[in-house]
Amino acid sequence: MNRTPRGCSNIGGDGAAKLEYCRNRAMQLFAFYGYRPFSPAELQLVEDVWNNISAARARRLIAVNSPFGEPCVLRGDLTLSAVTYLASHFSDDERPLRISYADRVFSVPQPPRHNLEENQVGLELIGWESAGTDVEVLSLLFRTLDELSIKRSVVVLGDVSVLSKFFEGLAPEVKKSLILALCDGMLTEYRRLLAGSGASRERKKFLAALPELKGGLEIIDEAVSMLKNPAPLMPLKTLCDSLAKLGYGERLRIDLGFVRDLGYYSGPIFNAYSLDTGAALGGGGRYDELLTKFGMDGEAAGFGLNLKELASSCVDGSPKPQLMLWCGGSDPADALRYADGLYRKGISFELSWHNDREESLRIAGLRGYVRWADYAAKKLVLLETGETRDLTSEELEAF
Amino acid sequence: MITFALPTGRSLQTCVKILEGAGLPVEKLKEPGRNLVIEEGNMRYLLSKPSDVPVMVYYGAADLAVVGNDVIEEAGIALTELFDTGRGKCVMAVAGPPEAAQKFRAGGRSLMGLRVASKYTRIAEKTFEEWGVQIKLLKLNGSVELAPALGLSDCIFDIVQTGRTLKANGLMVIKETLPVSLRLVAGSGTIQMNWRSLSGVTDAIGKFVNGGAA
Repeated sequence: MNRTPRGCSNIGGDGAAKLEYCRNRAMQLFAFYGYRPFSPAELQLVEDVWNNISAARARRLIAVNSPFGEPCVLRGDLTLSAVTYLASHFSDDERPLRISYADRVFSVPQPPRHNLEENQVGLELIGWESAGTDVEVLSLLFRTLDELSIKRSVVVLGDVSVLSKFFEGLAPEVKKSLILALCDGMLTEYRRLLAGSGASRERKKFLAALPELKGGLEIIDEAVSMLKNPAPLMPLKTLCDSLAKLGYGERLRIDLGFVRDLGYYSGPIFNAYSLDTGAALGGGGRYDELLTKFGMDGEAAGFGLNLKELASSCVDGSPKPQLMLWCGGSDPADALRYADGLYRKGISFELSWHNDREESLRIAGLRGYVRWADYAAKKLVLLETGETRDLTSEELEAF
Repeated sequence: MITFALPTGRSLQTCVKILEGAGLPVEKLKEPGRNLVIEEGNMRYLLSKPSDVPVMVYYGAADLAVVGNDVIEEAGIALTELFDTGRGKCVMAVAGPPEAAQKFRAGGRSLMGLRVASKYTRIAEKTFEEWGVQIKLLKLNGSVELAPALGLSDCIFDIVQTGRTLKANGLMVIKETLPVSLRLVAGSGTIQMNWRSLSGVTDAIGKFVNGGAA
């Protein structure tokens, strides 16, 4: 028996076709917006990763020793790969840098999941550009979902810098514990910590409401009305206004208590969900401080989407070839020359070299083809009705 | 329609009381018979084996659930805990015969290689790891209290409510660990996407369990 390792899966058939379709559409879209593809190494040095992500995330990395004796992990994060590459391969005056990727990431699965690997597609925008960074990245996230016909989807937006300001003035260990409780979704613990935090009554009231400040764009105004100094919320409001102007207001949700566990985000953060399946499609955010760790200044933002989830939410898919062309018994060179002609006409096809006509027809039916053609006899068979026509240029034009 | 997963078994009646106290429709739920899906008003209740409840919530099959934190911890599934209901209280504990208690008093080397029987292997492993004690874990699915008497283990790691079952089997609580109670939980994605449609129900439950009127 041919067994795949536990936690891994081979993807074939329609699943693979859809995955490839989503990958190609996303990468093409990113290329139009000036993002250049990046193919990262499968292994990352432990020293590059360990201190740049949260401890919880670091514990999920899959450690390996390279054959050269270097302590490594299987690539657990594409953003880190991108930043380490950019930091060492580009000079300051080449920024801003726009890169895209479609690759696998590996981590120890968290129950109830069992998969060690995930296929991601995403982009990173790194450089010194101002307010446009977040809007560009978020609008490209929406555009990617639209491109794949996943219009019944929402993006949930929070901002860790706003959150950090809300907790300003509290003892550092209290602040850290409160943020950790939010990150872990332990709201009972959050309320318990808040009660003993030493914050003023008014502040406690706001911070107690914080995990519940979730909903549409009106949540920002609600939070503004609750604060004496709403200034920290203004950049988030401006970002939302820009996205609303682009027509994405209805698909935006706000979550002011939102924290992501990667540990390197420093501004707006977001998750994308399919409304049809409820599945998390991916997420991303702003990570300026990560750049600082690698000796770079400026703003950086990006996102990664789970290709398998995109493929299962995507209505469209890689189109099947339009025709099975039976060339059994014919001169292969002549048949291929004819096939080249089909290619030039934009007709997709699969060649069948089987000697037995009936067997070729059977396989075409099995694979779901609608049309089957006999190259030698120049006859076209419509498989659903059994009707036979001459394989003329006019007939091919009508495909 | 809000879908609520509830654990079958001894916790169910406590859950029903919480929901009733919060003003949610529970008439059919009080006598579910063999039905596993019950619809009342704008609520759909899924009755499920306790250990399956976290998975249902994680994958969004249920919007909310009431389930013990022992079950959530054992499943190792990350969920958003909205409230501790304070109901169904018990404690996770190490229990055993007097000889095992003696080993714990001596501590250190005497605990190395301790044979522990438990239904909650994940929590047991984590707890003993935190204590720096290497154990030999035996997974049992029920009647864990029998294990020491049968020579299968030195002690057990289990939920203790009244301690009567322990006493009846010649065991005593040696060390209490995790306080357990029923928690109101939701999936993080569900919360982020649908908070406004769920908050009426969660507020009502919150008020009830915190002593306020629903």
